[in-house]
Amino acid sequence: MKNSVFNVSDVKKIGENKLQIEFRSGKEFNGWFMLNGKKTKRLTVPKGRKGIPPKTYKTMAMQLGLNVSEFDDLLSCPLTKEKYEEIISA
Amino acid sequence: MANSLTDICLDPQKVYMNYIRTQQKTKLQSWGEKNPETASAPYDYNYGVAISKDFESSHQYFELLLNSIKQNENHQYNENLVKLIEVVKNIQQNDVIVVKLNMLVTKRLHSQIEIMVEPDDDGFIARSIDFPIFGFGEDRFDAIDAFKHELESLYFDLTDDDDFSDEWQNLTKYLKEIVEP
Repeated sequence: MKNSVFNVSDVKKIGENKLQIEFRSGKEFNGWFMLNGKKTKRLTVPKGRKGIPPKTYKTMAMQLGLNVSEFDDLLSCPLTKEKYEEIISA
Repeated sequence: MANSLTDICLDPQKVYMNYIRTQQKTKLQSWGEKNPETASAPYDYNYGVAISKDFESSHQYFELLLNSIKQNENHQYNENLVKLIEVVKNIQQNDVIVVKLNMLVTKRLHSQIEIMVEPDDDGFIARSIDFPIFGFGEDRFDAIDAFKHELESLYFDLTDDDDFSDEWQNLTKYLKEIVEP
């Protein structure tokens, strides 16, 4: 688990750049991942903190339909958007 | 008495002291004094906002304790205080507490939902097996509050639009059933 490597800003940036998630600002940042024109996954990025605690990190991975290892890969680049779409379509 | 409770209770102390102040009518409403507009109370017999199972049992002993004080039964007072201390210690040591919500930020729920609140590093996380959301906060109260905001935000998202995948469509149906319009 690479929750000590990435902070909430990293997750938000990668969500925006790699998955084209548009976050809406509320109490937290929330955004939808679109697949085939439908809102498929909803990611929450907590505001007001930098580090990501382990259970929060795991829950964010689950929101995207990934396990922790896949989420690590998504954040650290090996997992592309195409591969991600394959995973959540399976 | 106050000093003992101060020593024993951290967060629950607010709840108990408020109970003393307000007596029977508005029980335990100081749960989350930081955000009184949106905070849950752990237990309110008359209006029911949220229930913590642990707080429910501590409340029972607390009532016995109050009765004992009123009746000046020193022996019983001590016995009940010991039980109360045990329950409060249990709350403090337990990793997970289960809280039932029947209200969100502005919306009421037809049926209660259970959420689990547990430590997560230097804060707390509130989650439910029914919804893919979470609330994070510096303490349990913040985490519960954050969860309520998240669930209400999800409700508005899902009822505002209809271009969702099947799993979300199912969740929308469920939310429409349990959230009062």
